[in-house]
Parts: sequence; structure tokens; C-alpha cells
Amino acid sequence: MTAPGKNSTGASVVCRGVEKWFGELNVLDSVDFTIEPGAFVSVLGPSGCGKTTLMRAMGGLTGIDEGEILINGKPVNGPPREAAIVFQQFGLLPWKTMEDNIAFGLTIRGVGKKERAERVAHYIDLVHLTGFEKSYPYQVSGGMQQRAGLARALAVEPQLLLMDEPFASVDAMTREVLHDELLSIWERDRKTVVFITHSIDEAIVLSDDIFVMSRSPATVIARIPVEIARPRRERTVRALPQFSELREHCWDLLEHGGAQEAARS
Amino acid sequence: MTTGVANPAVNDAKRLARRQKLRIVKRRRRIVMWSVRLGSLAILLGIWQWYGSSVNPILFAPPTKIVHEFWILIGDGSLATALWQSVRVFLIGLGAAIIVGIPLALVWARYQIVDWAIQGYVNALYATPLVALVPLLILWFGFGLEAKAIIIFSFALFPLLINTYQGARSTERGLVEVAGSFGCSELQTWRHVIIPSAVPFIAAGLNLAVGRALVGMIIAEFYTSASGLGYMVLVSGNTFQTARMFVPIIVVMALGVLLLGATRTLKRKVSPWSEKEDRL
Repeated sequence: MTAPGKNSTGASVVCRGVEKWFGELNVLDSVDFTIEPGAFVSVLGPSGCGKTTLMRAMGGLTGIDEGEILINGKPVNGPPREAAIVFQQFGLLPWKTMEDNIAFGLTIRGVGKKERAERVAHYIDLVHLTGFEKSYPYQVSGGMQQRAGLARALAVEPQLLLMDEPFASVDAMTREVLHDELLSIWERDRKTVVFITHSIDEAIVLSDDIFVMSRSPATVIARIPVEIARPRRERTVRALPQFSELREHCWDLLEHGGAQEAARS
Repeated sequence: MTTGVANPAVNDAKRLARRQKLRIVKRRRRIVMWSVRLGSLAILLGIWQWYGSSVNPILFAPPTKIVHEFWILIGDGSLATALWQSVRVFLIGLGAAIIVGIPLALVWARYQIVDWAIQGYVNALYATPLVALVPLLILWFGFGLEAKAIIIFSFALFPLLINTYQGARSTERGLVEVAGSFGCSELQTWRHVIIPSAVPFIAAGLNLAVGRALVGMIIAEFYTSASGLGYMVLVSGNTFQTARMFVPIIVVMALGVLLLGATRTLKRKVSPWSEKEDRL
């Protein structure tokens, strides 16, 4: 576990005996883990194993049937104020401009006009969307839309960032650029991040810890620390011998977890 | 469009020349288009003139006679009076349908109980040819302006009601979830997500409603008091003034084209994102 800095702005997350059913289908079964404040954790599992359901439960978008989820010690009961979600399909509102989309969370939380404008400008700059403030989502590329999705989540200055396969629907080249940008943003202010993915490579490049999940009913079968020094960049991480070792290790675990079809990234 | 970053390597003069060339191509295309349109109109009018003059004037009228009637009806002010009578009652009926239909549909979409209670009736009434109800409406509301407005209202209401309902209902679940994740209240979710997402549907409903309201307007003027363009059609027809009959018909036609065009433009303006798939 990478120790977070003293002045970390991240939230802690605890799952205890989390169980979730969809009708008669057991999706999550006794999920237990603790995430330290300021850690970057990936949840890695085969498609359809229930990792998105786990994230939705942490984000308060769906209830759980047994156990509890605590964020900063408080049980999750509806979307917690400390958390913000980056969605797989971006989830931008098509009738709002990019800047209004980024301002969305702030508008909802009643942040004043002046502060809102300042923060939006800051995050637009941070995710390199300058010049596209007045564009509508349909006018820009998928990568840009997800930058706005990320900026929108960051703008509410959450202590916990929940990312649901955020780069799964952008092209490979853009994905690599976005990985590096996410790394540099995160390495600066160390919010707690829970990153859902089915890509082993992505999990290794980004995370402090990888939680490997089994096929459904899903549970965390292993917690793999990624001891690669930061600051990281995707290309340099991929060149390290540890990278391939970790990759093999994750594959073994996924296969033993009954995940023969887990997608290679 | 703001996509694409200027490439400094591209020669500005070259780009300018290219733009000019494109503009010339476009203009030439437009000239051809309008020549064809005007040509086809001239041919149509020619045939009409020739045929209209060769048959019994009770059955048909050539364009020149119709134009002549236009001048007379404009001159004595009766066309303007009839047009205003029609437009006024049309606007009252359509306006009432908008004011009642859109909020009602939103309540309908929001509350399951309301949905269960009224869905069947709304669908049944939408399917009913409302012309069948006109005599009943006259029985209840008489022959005046009120009755006409109510007939137009009932014609325009259902497409607005059903489209708005479907628009609100077909809001992408994912977007409602996004709103929830940022802590939107119910009201905020409606304001920022559900209503904007219904806007293209509402605009399409308005387009349908305008068409139906025009039908309602003419029917109302056929059946009720002596006023408006519909009445002018009726009286000219009954007195065998066939050339004169064409005048209000052409005015209603123009009104329809104008209003439908306006609502289509409105739809494009209020929801540019929904036009994306339509554009080539």
C-alpha cells in the first residue's frame, strides 16, 4: 500500500460483507476491502462480473442487500457528497455546452456564479479543453467528451473519484494520452480513486493496488500491490520488467477465478 | 464549427482560393436548382391556364381568373378580415393546447398513478377521428368563437400530449443517473435533464399539432358561424364561384407551408444536437 501524504484530500472507503442480488442472481458476494485515503485502486475483473455494480453501490446509485459500504466512516445511503463519478459513456448532457456540462455539479450544489466560472476555467485548462468551451458534446471527439466528463467530476472537488471503465470507448491512442493526463492530475492532488476496468495493462499503469475480482457472484479474490515508482508515464511503465511480471500474475489470477474470456487490453 | 485546429503549415492563400472555388460551385448549383423550380412552376401554371380556360367555369378556373379574384378580395378587405378571423381563432386554440398539453403531459409522465388513470383514454381519443366529435362540441359550445377555439384545441391537444409524454419517458436512464450522482433533487433532474431531453419531441409534437389545428380550423369554420377562410371556401363553393373558392384555399395552403416550416425551423433551433443523425 502506498502511504498517502499527510495532507491528503482523499476519502477512505470500506466495504464489509457486501452482497447484492438482482432478482435471483447473486451479483456480489461477501466483498470485503479497505481503501486508504489517497490511494489509486483498480478493480479488475472480466466483463459482466459485477464490478460496475460494485462501483454503482459505492456511488450510492444502487442499494446493497447485505453488508455495508462506508465512505469516511459514514455508511453510503444515496450519492455521497464526497464522491463524483466518471461514466463509461461520458454521460454529458447533449443540450449543454462543454463548459456548462463541466459546471453541472457546481450548478446543482449551488456554487455562486463567479466561483463556478473560475473553477470551470481551471478544470478546462487542466484537461486541455481550452477553445472548446462553447462547443456541444456532439461536435467533439469521444476523447474530448471524456475529458469533459473527468473535468465535471473533478470540478466538484471530490475526495473520492469513481471511474467506471472511463476509457473503454475511446481509441487506443487517445486512451494512452488520457492515462498520462490522469496520472499527472492524480499525482498532484491524490484523491482516492476507484478505477473500474477490464484491462490488466490499464490497471497496472495507473494503480497503487489492483483488486482482482472473480466471475459472478463476484468477490475480491486478490489484492495486488503495484510497486512501481511515481511519477509514472504509460510508455515507461510498459517497458519495465515488473510490468510483464504483474501482467502474468493478474492473468493467472483471472484464469483461476474462472475468467478464461477476460478481455486482453 | 469549432472542431479541428488550424494547421499553420497550410498556405493561407491556397485555402482562400479553394474557398472561393467552393463558393462558385455552390452558387452555380443554386442557380440550377431555382431554374428547375421556376421552370416546373411555369409548366404547371401553363397547363392549368390552358385546361382551366377550356372547361366549364363552374368546375374549374384558370390562374388568371384566380389572380383577378385575389385582387377583388384584397381590394374590398374581405380576404384580410377572413384571414384575421381564422388566424385569431387558430392561435387561441393552438395556444390553449400548448398551455394545457405540455404541463399535463409532464405530470402524466412523472406520476405512475396518473399514467395508469389516463393513458387508455388519451390513446383512445388520439385514435378517434375527432371530426366525429364536432357535432357534439357544437351542441355543447354553440356556434361562436369559443366553439371554434375548442374544436381547434381538441385537434391540436393530442399530438402535443402524446409527444411530450413520450419525450419525457424516453429520457436516457444513464443521464438521469448522472444527475443523481451529482446530487440533483427531483426538481433539478426535471429542469436539467428530463425536460431538455423532451424538447425535440415537444417540437415534433408542435409540428404535428399545427397541421391538425389547421384541419380543425377549416372544419370548425365549415360547421359553425359565418367567418374565416373555411367559410369563404364554403360560400364560394355553394354559389359556384369556383375561381373565388381557390383564393382561401391557396391562402390556407400558404399558411400551412409557412407554419410547418416555422415549427421545423424551431425544432432545429431548440435542439441542434438531435439533428445530428439527420445531417449528412
